[in-house]
Amino acid sequence: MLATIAEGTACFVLDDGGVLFSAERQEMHVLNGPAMFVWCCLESALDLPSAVAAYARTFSLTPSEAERVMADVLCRWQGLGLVTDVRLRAASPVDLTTALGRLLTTPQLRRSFAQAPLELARSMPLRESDIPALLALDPRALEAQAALLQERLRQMRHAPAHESVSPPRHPAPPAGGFAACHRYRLLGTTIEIRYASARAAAIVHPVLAHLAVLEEFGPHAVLEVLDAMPGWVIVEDGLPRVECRRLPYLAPLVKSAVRRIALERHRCFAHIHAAVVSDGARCLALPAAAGSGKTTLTAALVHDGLRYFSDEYAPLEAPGMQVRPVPLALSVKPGAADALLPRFPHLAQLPVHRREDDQAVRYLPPPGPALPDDAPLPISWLVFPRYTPAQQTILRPLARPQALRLLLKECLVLPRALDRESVEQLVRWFRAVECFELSTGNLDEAVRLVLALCQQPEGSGTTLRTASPERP
Amino acid sequence: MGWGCIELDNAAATAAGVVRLRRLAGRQAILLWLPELALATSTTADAVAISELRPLLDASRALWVTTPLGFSRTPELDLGWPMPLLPGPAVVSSVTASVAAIQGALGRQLLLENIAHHFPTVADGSEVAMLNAICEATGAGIALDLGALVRNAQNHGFDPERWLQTLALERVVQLRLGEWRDTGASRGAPPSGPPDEDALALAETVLARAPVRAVILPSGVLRGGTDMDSHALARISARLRWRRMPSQHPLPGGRAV
Repeated sequence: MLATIAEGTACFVLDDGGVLFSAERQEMHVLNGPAMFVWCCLESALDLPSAVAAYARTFSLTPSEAERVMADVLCRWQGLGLVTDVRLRAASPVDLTTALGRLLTTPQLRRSFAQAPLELARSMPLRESDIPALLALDPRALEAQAALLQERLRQMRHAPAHESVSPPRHPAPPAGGFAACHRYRLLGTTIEIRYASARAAAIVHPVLAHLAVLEEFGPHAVLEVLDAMPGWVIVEDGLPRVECRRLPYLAPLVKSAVRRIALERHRCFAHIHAAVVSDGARCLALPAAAGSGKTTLTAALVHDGLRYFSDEYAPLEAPGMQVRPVPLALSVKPGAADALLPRFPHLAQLPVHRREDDQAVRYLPPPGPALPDDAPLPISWLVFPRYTPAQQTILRPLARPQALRLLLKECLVLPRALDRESVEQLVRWFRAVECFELSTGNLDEAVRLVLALCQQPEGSGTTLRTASPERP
Repeated sequence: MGWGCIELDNAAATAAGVVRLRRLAGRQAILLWLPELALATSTTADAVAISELRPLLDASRALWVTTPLGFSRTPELDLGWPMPLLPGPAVVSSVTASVAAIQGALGRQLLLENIAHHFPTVADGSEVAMLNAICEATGAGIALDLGALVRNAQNHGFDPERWLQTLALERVVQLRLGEWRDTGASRGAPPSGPPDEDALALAETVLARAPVRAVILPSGVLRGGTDMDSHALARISARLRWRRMPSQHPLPGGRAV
């Protein structure tokens, strides 16, 4: 046996790598091929000589090289609480701060430190010159600091997303009744918005109008946009939530409230920061951070025939990680407007709004035919876009372990604690998804490549690239 | 004393923080508190974030940047919270190198701030020796959190006046005054209550001997949100012999100085 697998730790194969999950730490680690090989040796309970020989043979290393690599991997996993009782001693020393980080987060290591600090320091192995500093640490002080860290992490997980501010004013509803009232439906939630003034309705309603439903849908939540002199206050189910001083900021605040209410009421596995389009049967998700060009690409794809699911949030539903439409109006930033004008000439006439982060945006409602019904669909393709001006537009396959790492970076919310079953569902879904990275220098070329991808048989894995010279 | 400055929390880490910086640029001198510089574990990501921060700091006339003397990340872990360093020789040299590199990239002085924690290094003198050595080698300044010092003195049973005698007071250019109201002992949410008498007495000592240019007060105290806060501000001003009261209307989003 190389080591003992810690209780609550499980590993799932993903291509030639794997996904390691610790229920206790609520962590997922994506393993590459060699690391996965070591884990397989652990699960197979191979003895040390057999495991080292197998590793050396597989990766064309000498036995001593193989033993060194395996020891480093196992000691690192031990430091992260994923395994215990490692039979090998790592060759590469760790620095004092790394060792301290491991001790603060791994109870098993702290127990070992309390019992035999020098032995633990040498097993990590800590640099000789740093050992006195670690040994000077009182195990009780270490335990107290670790408890403090756990409490901090717990507070952070439960902290509100925004810092607390003074509650906004609560103006009275208009004496003569609301000037306008509309109901909108998103993710199965119907939200009624009552506008105290026609001015507020005129700026907000066009942004949400494509989500409007008839009054027969009873509202699950009510928003009131009240005049506050100066500005407006958005009241949610009777409680004032946010104050808006200037008209250009109003529609983004209301849109944000609608999205939040709908997402909070929607049970799902995770919210991913991704745009999503569909061919009617399957979805293509574009996970990426802001500024990567995903909204621009999404708008163009929708214009050219795909259905619109979302330009920013993708709620993944277990067990199949299907995605449900969140078809809020697309947020087009000034830099993207020129590229989209040939497809959406009316874009230039849309009003400019200001988001909370001061970003100017135009809200482009999706074309009617592009709106899907509310049913969830499976994601068949993950395409990670990156806007690279004046560079060649290229779509190339991405290894799934690497793609999963990228996807986890764009994971915004996990509403519930992870367990073995949910992680297994995630990995099972991921095994069937085709993953690509897309360097976009030219919007038309990018659209052509993505549309071609949606028409290819699944699993072809071809690298598609443009041959034409790029223009900025 | 720089009345009317704003200290922003971790502004580089969020889009909203960057927006605040842009809004304040040219209107208000800024002191920046960046708790996640990961002094002991420099990474490429840090270097990128720091280089992106430089133009904003220049535009906002940031006087200096403050960061805790601690670590919140290792190459394999994101702790999300500053934890105390252990002053081994390799740690001192790597933090010294990081501080020098960050100061060069930001084009301004870095202030290292003491934190409250449970390790004995805070009481045995090794931490303050490390702080002094790093500042001596890099020209960095010290931001002295008196709330953290008082908490450490209570928890570890040492005399804070004697602790101050070992600190390179000539490098202290910023004081933080405030009482810890949370349950923990470490640096988390900034102090939210007015400083107690012990902290004020220490402040008097430090102000008499150190080239302090800024005192950070809790935002609640400055906003005068409660009678207690208003009273506390008057008490602090009288105790520290300030000739005029600091603004009670700091710009939104920061703690005023």
